[in-house]
Amino acid sequence: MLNFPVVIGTSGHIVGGTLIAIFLGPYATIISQTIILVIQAFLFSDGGITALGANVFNMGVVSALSYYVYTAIRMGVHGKEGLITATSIASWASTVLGAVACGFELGVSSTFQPYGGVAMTVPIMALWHALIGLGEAFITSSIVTYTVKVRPDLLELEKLAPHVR
Amino acid sequence: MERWVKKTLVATIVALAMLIPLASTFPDGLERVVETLGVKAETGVWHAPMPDYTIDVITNSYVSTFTAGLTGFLIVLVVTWLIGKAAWVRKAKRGT
Repeated sequence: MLNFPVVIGTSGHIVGGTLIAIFLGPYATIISQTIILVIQAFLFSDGGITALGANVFNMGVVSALSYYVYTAIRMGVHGKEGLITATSIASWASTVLGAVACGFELGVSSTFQPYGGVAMTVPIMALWHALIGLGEAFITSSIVTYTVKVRPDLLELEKLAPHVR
Repeated sequence: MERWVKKTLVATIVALAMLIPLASTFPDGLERVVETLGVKAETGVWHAPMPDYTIDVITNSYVSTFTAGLTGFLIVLVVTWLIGKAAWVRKAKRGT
């Protein structure tokens, strides 16, 4: 809804999955993203109902997995630098990997077959989203660093993840 | 209602009101790819009540998008809260 311009003629929108994952963990991310995507599709014709499954995977499951990119980096890089680095890389990666997954889904679909298929859709989706991902990384790390400054306890909430019982 | 909840709600609505005029109308990454390849979009199977974050009966585009955005935000909030509540009740019953 609130797109930000990346270059003249193209914009991007935040996915937000990494942002949720950092505070709530991967399971809650998939649930939250699914709620958002269902409401966007049915209420606003954004995303679409027939594409809902693909969108849940690309923007829910993939961005939930970016939680592990975040935790892996934080284990290696400590302090505020670690927080910013981990948040930025994880959110950038979730945008690009989600776009690659989307590119693959488009490429194998019959609609995109006459236009070059996977060989076309994957690289251009990845290239555009490598740029858009910078916006995602900036917005996500800004929100996370500000939140940690005012409410550091929110980062310590119980995470819903497969290894947590 | 707790104070931080009120503050967060107000901040979100103010941010929405301020960001709407700044939102880019350029096609997004996916739409750009579809345009570049010249793929023709299929007609939709669903007629949404507020297509593209606008409300038909409101002619002012700012008010229209703001109302649609606010509605969407509140519905996401309520649905998420209800699902969270249901999960919490289940967990409490199990006693874990």
